[in-house]
Amino acid sequence: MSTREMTMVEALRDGLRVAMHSDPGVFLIGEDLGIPGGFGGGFTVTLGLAEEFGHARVMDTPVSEIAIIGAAVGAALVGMRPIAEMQYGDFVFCGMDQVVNQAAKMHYMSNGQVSVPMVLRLPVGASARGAQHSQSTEAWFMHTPGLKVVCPSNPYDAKGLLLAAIRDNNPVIFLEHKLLYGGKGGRKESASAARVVGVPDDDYEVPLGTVSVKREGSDLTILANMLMLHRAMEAAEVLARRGILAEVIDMRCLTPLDMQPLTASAQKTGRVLIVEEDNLTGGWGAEVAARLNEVAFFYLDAPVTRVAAPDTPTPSAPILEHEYVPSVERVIEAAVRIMAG
Amino acid sequence: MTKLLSLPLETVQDMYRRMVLIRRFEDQLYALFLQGVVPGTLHQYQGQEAVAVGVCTALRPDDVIFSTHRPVGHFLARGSTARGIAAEIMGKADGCAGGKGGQMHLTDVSIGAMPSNAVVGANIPIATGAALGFQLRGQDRVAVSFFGDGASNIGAFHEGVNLAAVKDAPVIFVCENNQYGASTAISSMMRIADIADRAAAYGITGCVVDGMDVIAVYQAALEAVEKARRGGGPTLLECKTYRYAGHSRGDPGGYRSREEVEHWRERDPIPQLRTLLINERGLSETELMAIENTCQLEVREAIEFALNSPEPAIEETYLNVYAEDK
Amino acid sequence: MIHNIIIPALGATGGDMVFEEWRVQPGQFVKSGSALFVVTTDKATVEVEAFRDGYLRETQVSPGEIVSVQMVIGRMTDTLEETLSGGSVREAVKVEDRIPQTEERPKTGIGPPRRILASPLARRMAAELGLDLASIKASGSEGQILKRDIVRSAENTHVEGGVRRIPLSPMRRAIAQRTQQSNTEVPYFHGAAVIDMSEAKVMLKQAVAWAEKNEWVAPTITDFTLRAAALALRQIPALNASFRGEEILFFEDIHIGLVIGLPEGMLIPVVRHTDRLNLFTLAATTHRLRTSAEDGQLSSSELSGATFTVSNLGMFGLDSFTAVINSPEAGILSLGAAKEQAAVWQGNLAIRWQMKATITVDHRVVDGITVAKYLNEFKQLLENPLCLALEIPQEGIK
Repeated sequence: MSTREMTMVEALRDGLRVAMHSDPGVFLIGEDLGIPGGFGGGFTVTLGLAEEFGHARVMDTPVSEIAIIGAAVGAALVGMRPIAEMQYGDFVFCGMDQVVNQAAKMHYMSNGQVSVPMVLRLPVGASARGAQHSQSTEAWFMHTPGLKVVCPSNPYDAKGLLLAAIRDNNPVIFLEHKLLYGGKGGRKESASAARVVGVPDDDYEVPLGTVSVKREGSDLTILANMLMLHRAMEAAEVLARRGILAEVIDMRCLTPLDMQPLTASAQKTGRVLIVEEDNLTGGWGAEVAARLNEVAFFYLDAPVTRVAAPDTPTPSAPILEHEYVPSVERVIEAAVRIMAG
Repeated sequence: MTKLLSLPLETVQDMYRRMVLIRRFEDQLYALFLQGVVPGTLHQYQGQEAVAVGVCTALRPDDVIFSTHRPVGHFLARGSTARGIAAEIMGKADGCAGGKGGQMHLTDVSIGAMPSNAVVGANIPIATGAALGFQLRGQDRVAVSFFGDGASNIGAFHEGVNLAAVKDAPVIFVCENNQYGASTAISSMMRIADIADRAAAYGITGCVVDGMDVIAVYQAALEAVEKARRGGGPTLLECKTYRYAGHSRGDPGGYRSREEVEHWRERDPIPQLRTLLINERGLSETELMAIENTCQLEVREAIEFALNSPEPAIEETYLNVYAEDK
Repeated sequence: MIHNIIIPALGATGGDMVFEEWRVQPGQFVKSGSALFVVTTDKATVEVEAFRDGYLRETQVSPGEIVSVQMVIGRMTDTLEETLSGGSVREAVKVEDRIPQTEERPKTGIGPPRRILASPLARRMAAELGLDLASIKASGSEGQILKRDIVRSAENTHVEGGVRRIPLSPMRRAIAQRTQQSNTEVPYFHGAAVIDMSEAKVMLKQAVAWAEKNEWVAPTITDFTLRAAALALRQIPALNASFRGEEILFFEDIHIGLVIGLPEGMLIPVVRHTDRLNLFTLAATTHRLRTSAEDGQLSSSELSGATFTVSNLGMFGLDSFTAVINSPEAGILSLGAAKEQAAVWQGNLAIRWQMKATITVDHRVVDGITVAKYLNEFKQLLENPLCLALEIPQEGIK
């Protein structure tokens, strides 16, 4: 086992490769995944895999999200482990019936006779492409019983969580933030905040249903996911210089949600700030805030507060998108206001 | 009916038995519904028996079927037990899905019957996916998607059929054209007369068959199945048929003329086969009545069983949301 | 099944109590007999156990709130599902909320009582520290009291030129009320005696050695004085009484309260049937009561029912003092330190251990002669300590 510096794209690709090597039942399905001379999926994640595993197991499809997701459900029902990709996470809405009415419910409706061990990979997040290519869709799936929801913030977690998701016997919605891909070549995102970290090149898993304390602190708990996790960490640095010690927790798995570390942190600091890129109303932060209210109310010195995208579709002009996506400054401001009381 | 004589007698007798079983079961269930014993509603299959029985007879035990909100015929045709179905419809613990699925979501993996689907057309791409799974594994199993005329207009039909076509997936798309999508005549919702014509648009085989003739259905299905097994790709098999009951049991069918219903009643698949069995295979009244009585008993016993089955434990509400790690 | 959680009768004077905290979170399971919540009475902080296995469904009081006996403060269920139904813990609908608003409410011109805004954490901390929220300055932007305000208050920051303001804790308030009432209502009479404790000290040493050998709790001087006080009461039962307006109650049983000093004030646990306990049993009993008092673990029944009280400040070196009667009892015995003094003993000058005992009595119940007799008996017992170890003649034997 050795460790290589990898971007998230490389880590995900490596995860897919490891999974496909270890289990012949794993296959990929989506658009532009393995086309010779193509891009390897929406963001180069699958580049090279068709050459390694063949075009049957790296299956390219017509533009048909219903069929992509539906076929993944069907293949999973007969014992395969398909990994379906939406070119942009926003397109999942074309096939929502297959996710919510089909994949999520088959195990329950059949009372356990069948299961749907599939992964649905969604590139998400605002990246200067306008309202229909920018959404963060976690909340829709967090709200649907029967699905698991994963949203890594770094390459190490991305590969480990992906492998765990593939091996899980439930449908897993796997969100990948476009600006964290760190893709090389033609698909490099201009505003990329990608970090390159050391990732083991062997088979390892990061368990689903976990969150990760990325920074310890005693004054304020910040909960964030994907790109917002990086913004929260930056904010925490600045806050520390002002004497505010923030604890930052990476919400890398929203379903199942491990409340225990969140509760412990809220009890320790008495103040919780949630930073999310999805729209404020009914976002994942609303659910977490409601739960913290239930279990940690008597330890709170301030109301659980959210910093989120406003309740608008994503604007396209860079200056407007900058206003829309929570910035490091907004996180700092919110933190300072909470501390002021 | 063609080539009846070339089929083994047992096969044909069993086809008859299963059609009668479906008819008796659905009729009995309707009687119970009228007595207020059945929770929810029923989507019944009377009149369409030849399609389910004809197609399922052409399948192997290791093939899989995907049914719809009107699943009883397919499940009984495939060999699921009347007891399990009755109990499931009544919402009892001994139902094939423990009361969790209900009338529209029957599942019986022991006979390769995947969870039946209440979203019209949704099972089409899913069946394609199952077929792709067989293909990837190098198996010669096939998947069958049952759907109605209404479903042929939904997006999932287009996407699921097209994907199957492009990949030569071993799936048979069985369109049970009973002329109506709920209360809407299919003739008013498409510009073509035969749904099977759409097959050409996807570059696959389309075939129209008399859905009231179980032998015709069987032969067409067998051809499609064998073609799929050989790697010849999918077939769109349109069976012209009719449902004698309303769309669901809340529907008195006021949108259909009495003449129309009568016309289709005259072509009832069960008396048709019965007559042929007597005339062409020399079966006696006694033998046929014996089959019919067996079915009657089986249905009665199944309903007794269902009525006496306990309700599911309250805790079941919370179970099997997620599959455990194995 | 859903069950109400109520404040039980905690043996206090019937006054209000302060709800301190829940020991279980809503949604959690609690086993019958384990701690469910904590309440402070005017005597002690009491932990109340769950009366059955179950799940805490909802809470209707928060830390710092005043509660009273029989008040419903929450609900628990037998099963988790009953607790989870509805998806989240809701406050029970109060009866007033269900009254339909069909008529206009008359305007009285009196506004609603001013609510004190405080964060849940601040509220809890205030309750734990015994601070009254009304006396704390809020620094929150919406006028809410925050944790830092409690911390500041608890640290007793100086305000107004060197004067510290500390709100009354429930215990302090109770002591203040009791002593004020006693002092106002009860006509006092005092008597004092000097007691030679030398013999008692010798015997104590022997008793301690004996106890240690047997691994029993070693007796103290206080135990000796308690036994003497009890035996004396037996002989002079007129003092084991209580004035009740039109009548005087004379108690057949002797239960002596022993004053225990604590950092925050004092508690007076009761030694039941003090006269029936031999010295070693008495030693074990007072030891247990003292430990419980220091740990705040005394039950309300252990704090009530005294017929007489003994206060020993001798351990702090005080020569003598006059305690305030623990109304409605008729007497309290105050004991000073036993010190070596020059004294006349059996006709000669000698160094003897001497202790001053002062008794305060309710003159409505007891007169001077009774006081004299009592003190005399008490003194005799301690100066002839062998009698402390002996029992009265058993009945029925000729």
